[in-house]
Amino acid sequence: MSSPVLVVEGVRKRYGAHQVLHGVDLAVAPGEFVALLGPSGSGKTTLFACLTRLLEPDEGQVTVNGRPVTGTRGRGLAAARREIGMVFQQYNVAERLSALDNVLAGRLTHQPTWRAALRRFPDADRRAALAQLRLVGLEALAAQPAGTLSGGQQQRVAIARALAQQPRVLLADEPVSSLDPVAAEGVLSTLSGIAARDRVGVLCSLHQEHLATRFATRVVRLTAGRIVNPEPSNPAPQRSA
Amino acid sequence: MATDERLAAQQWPIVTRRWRAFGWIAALTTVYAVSWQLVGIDLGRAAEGLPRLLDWGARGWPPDFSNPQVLALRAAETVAMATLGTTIAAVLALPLAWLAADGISPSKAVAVPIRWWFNALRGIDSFIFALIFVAAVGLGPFAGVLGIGLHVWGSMAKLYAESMETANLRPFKAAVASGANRSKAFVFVLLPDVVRDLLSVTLFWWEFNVRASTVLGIVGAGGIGQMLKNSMDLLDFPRVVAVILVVLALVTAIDQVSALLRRRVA
Ligand SMILES: Nc1ncnc2c1ncn2[C@@H]1O[C@H](COP(=O)(O)OP(=O)(O)OP(=O)(O)O)[C@@H](O)[C@H]1O
Ligand SMILES: [Mg+2]
Repeated sequence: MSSPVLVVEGVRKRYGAHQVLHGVDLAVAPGEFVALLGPSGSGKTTLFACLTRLLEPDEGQVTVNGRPVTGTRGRGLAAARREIGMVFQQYNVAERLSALDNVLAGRLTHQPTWRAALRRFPDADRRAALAQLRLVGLEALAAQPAGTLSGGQQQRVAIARALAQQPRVLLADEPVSSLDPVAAEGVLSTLSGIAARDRVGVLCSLHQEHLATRFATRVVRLTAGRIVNPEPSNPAPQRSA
Repeated sequence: MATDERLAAQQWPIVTRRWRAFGWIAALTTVYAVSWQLVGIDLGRAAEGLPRLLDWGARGWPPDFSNPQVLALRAAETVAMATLGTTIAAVLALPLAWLAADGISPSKAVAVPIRWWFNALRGIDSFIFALIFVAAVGLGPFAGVLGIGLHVWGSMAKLYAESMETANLRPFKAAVASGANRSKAFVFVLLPDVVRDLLSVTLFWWEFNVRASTVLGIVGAGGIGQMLKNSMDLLDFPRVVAVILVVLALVTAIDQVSALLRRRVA
């Protein structure tokens, strides 16, 4: 197995007296699609927030593609964050921006500030953003304000935005919770395709056990604030129903 | 044992609440009594003055609308003062609001002193600023523009910062999590989301400034207020009434325009 793109060691987080993460250890290799299972309230969203340091972990180290995420700030942190694409549980799309502009926001980190201010991205970036929208089946709605899209469509805009970033690691927090079964399978096979084809390490939290076993190359569980019982990895994802 | 004690414990808050109500009434009565004394309210003088006012009103009829082009020019001057002052304030307020906004500012260290600066500006009325600028740059609307600009700079920046803070910050945070710095995330993601709110705030202050600048003439800062002051000094009541009517029409018109524009951007 090639060396991991995402390494998490001993991440702890607590809210007041409530210890949510008790020292999470986890490694994701390039091309792996790791499903993270865990009951509601077990701390999946908290863990994802700690991995990008939107939330400051109390303890522990996170490394992405060899770059430390923890213990850095400024440019070092930005450089590490650039390698991580994040699909949030609540999509977090900007409602008044078009779907395309939302996806372009994923390219923001690669642009100088004047381009961001004038909203003039290079053609190559615009083409890449449109290609991501096509991948999630929303090319026709590119110009529509994201706030007028359905929940499932917003979710797909959020996925396209994370992919536009061309990350080495993709974190997806329950990306299919608001989708119907057919759309859910579409999104998960897109994610597993990205892992397999682009050698991205994917960590994806899910509630449905059967989807996890079907699409993931490996399933891990978050129980009592730790990753437990990592099951033996599948050599290849099983795509059969 | 406990029943009586528990009952007593339940009744206790009712008793204290009654005492508290007495306390409030006593405090309010004191405030009004002291204020009455300090201001020197004299109903006798009001009774003497009222007929005089009525007499002036009667002498002011019919209003003197002669030289309408001068009236129009002064009214336009007032609107121009408000418009330029508001624009200056808006241009200065936007970057500082960004630097001061909680959770959005790229630096916490600058946010606090900037907020003190807002409060200092807000604490000094545009009337007082205008008074100072009349002394510094001379009589005329320019002093008024500077006065409005400075005072409203603080007020607008505060409201701008509030609209930014209460906006949905999740897309902004998502951009920051992707490695974009806060400036880029602000201009590309957050600003377009709040720009309508900011415009609405700006229009509100423009409308407010038109009303404020009708008064600024009294300290010599130009506009229609200056005409009011001059006519008043000459006891030219028909002119005073005419100017007051023009001010009313102007303010009403501006209110309508502002409301219309704000509905447009909402
Ligand atoms: N800001 C906060 N302050 C206090 N407690 C919090 C905060 N955010 C989360 N928690 C608590 O931390 C625990 C983990 O929450 P988290 O959102 O990470 O769970 P989750 O596994 O993502 O759940 P779900 O599957 O419902 O999305 C919960 O008990 C929650 O109440
Ligand atoms: Mg969650």
